[in-house]
Amino acid sequence: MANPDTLPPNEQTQHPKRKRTSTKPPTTSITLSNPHWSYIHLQHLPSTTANSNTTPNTTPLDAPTIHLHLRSALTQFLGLHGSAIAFDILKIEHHNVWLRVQAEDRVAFVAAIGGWVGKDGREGWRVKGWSYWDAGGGSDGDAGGLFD
Amino acid sequence: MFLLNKDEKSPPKCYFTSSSLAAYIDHAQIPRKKKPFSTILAHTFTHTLDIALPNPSAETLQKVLSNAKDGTLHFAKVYLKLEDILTGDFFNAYIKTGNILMLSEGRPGVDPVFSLSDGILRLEIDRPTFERVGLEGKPIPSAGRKHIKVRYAVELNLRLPSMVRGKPGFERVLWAARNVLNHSLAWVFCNLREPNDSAGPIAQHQPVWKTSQPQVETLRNVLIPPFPDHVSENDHETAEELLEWLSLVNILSPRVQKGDNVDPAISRYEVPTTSNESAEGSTRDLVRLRWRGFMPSAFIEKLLLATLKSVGEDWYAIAARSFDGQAYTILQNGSHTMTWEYQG
Repeated sequence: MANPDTLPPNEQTQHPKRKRTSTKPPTTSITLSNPHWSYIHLQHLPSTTANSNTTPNTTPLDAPTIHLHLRSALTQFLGLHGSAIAFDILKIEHHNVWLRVQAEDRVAFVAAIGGWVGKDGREGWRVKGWSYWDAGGGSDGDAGGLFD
Repeated sequence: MFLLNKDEKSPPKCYFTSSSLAAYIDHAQIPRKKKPFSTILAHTFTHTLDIALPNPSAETLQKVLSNAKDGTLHFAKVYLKLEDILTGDFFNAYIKTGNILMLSEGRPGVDPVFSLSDGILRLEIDRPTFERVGLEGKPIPSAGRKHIKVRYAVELNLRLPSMVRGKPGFERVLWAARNVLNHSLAWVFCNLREPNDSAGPIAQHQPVWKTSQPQVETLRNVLIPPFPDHVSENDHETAEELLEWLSLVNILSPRVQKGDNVDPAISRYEVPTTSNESAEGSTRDLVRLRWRGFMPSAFIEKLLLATLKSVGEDWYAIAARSFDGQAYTILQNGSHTMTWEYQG
């Protein structure tokens, strides 16, 4: 509104001293309070079978398998409603998976995944953290294991 | 919905600010009251720091950091009782005359958590403990949540002249440390005056010294969304989408890479583009440097200045996460600064 560039020429000549165009954009602050998404960091707990090594040498899961796992967990726990919850797999690293779900589905999703166990009763998922803003999923007091 | 978000403390908030930064920063007179510097200083205890930047400037930054050794973080893990901090050489050398940063173990909001910064000892404790310590404190606001136990914060400025042996105020603190808060705890310790000095009074407590070098990862052919020169007050979407993209880069997600033709059933994420489809050329190789450890804000400020210098007119992003769950992300594009501050 007060930008000298947009003023009609006659007004500009009236204020010759204000001609110095400010290239600095003004400071704006926004409070974001209705997040669309929530980001969840899961850890896959593989079933440690008979030859119980302390290091489970199971191969890390791939995206389609994870998708099936989570889909089955959601349907088991929440039925039709669970099958309608959509999620996006953002990143897979070894046994860690980062996901995105709709913010309002977060609680239902975490409850379904956290309570799910695989067929042998040992396989499962651990929710390592979640965040409304950060795809890394927060750290939830883990503090990067600095005190261990 | 039959599963309501009952555990919601308060509506989640993310504070976004778009501002401009002077082209030249005098290292002797850093504008610490302005963003992004004020954001860094507002977070005292950081455990994870990510810097993401495009490739040619990333190499410059790595060279600068390895020459100046600014990129190496020194801290220690040590088992101490509160009394060990308040007595003897430790108290005199580190608190009265020196400057250290310390934080005790414990889940924020659940366990007793003690911290020490700029000579101020802060004890966050639950009500029964607070009633036993006999020190003045304030209840920590819980935003009116029900069924949450009230916690108290006791803040003591140990640098005050009255905080010496023999003065009643200090004797009360010592009494509390001997009789109530007398557990041995794991602490992280950072000497702000001499970060490399491992010989000081801490040596008698068998500290475990740790150094942290950045872990460097490259993410190739990343689609770069258009960075706005200015964000208007109601443009929530741009602010949200940029933060999402930055945090995806920081977890090295393949979803931001060009040619990631993943099935929509797996992920529907798409890098935001401008409405006119001319943003074809905006793919670059990005480098992410990640530090983990006990980071004072001075360390991050130094890194930010080094990055600012290496990058020049290009852009970079810094994301940091604190022990109390606070986090921030800074995107600097030329002279345009964007910051996001949020919980979690």
